[in-house]
Amino acid sequence: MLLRSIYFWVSAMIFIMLVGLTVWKVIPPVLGQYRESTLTLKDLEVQITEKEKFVRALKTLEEERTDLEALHRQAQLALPTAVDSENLLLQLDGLIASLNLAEIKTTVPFSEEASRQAAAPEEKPAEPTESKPLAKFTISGPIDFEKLRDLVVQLKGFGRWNQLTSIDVIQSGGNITATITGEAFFKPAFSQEFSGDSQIINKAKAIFAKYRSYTTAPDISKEGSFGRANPLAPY
Amino acid sequence: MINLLPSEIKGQYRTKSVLYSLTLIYVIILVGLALGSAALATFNLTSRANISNKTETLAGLNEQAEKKQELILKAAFIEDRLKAESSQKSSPHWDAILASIASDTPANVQLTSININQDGSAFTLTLGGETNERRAIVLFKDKLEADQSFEKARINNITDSSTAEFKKYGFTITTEVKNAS
Repeated sequence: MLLRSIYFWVSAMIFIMLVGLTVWKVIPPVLGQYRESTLTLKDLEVQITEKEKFVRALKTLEEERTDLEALHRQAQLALPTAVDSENLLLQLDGLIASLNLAEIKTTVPFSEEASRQAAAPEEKPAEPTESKPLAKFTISGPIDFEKLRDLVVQLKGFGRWNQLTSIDVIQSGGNITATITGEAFFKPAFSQEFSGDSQIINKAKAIFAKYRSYTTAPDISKEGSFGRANPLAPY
Repeated sequence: MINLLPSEIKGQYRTKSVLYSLTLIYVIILVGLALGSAALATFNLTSRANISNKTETLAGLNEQAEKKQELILKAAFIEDRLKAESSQKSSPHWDAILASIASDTPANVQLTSININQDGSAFTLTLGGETNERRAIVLFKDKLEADQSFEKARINNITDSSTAEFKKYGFTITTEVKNAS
């Protein structure tokens, strides 16, 4: 009886067409948009959380700007971007003076090669590379065994990161002469991406507390007396 | 109650009833689909507004960070140097080596030379000295061998500069410094 009803067949056909049309044409794009929106929202939320954390860390750094500046200067002295022989020499002079080793001589290289290496990082600052210990230094002169040990200990915590390569001690007729050679590190490039670590100041303080700097970077705006009527006259 | 209607009319009523029920089911399904699609579309619209808001928030945060570029560079530099710090120290503990040399030297030995040199990745220690008995030289070598800072200690040479009055022996000992970095 039902199967012979035209009303049944017409309504069934309309129903199937409407359902088919909805399932085929309407639902998939709407579902696709839904999935895409959900993923985009999640992604944005993660990005915002990370960026908020980053901005909070920057605010902390802003509040501790003085410490940050000081640590930045220490980091530059500890592992400069160039050979920086002049500051190495001043640091070594400071170290020798602090140990009252007046007769000890220090030498550092001021070669063209060193200058060339120093200029190179300006061209490619974005590629971090391993440090190249090119600034070889020598400390030599009369010294007793106790002072030698003191000197070696001080070099371990020296404000310019270094590595000793040899120690040569000669004792003759009661006179002891030592020659210490080492390499001061430098690292031309550095990553310009800050991780957003809010503890960076405390971590840096803990690390740099182990090292002692024996000089500050020379600054012509704050030190030195310039200008002489006769620069050839004795000073 | 007895239904006295003829069976044909009864059949027609049943058919109509089934048709009404079926139509009702069709309508419910279609309305459900329409409402579902409408809900999803509404959600998408709301999401688009949310995405727009969040994108603006993110842009604002990026702008705030951009203004502090100088701080970022300084912090990045410090961070980079902190990472590099641990990789810088690869040489042995020189102070500990000098302390070991002092504590291992026999009382009747005077050192005349100490040489610690890097040979590739290894460090070699060569000691020169004088003593009044050969036994002290062997004891010195054995003491160095037993020290945890050194390995492969060996006597390179012993020279005899004794006179009728004094015994005097010169020597050199070579040992490798253990990598205690």
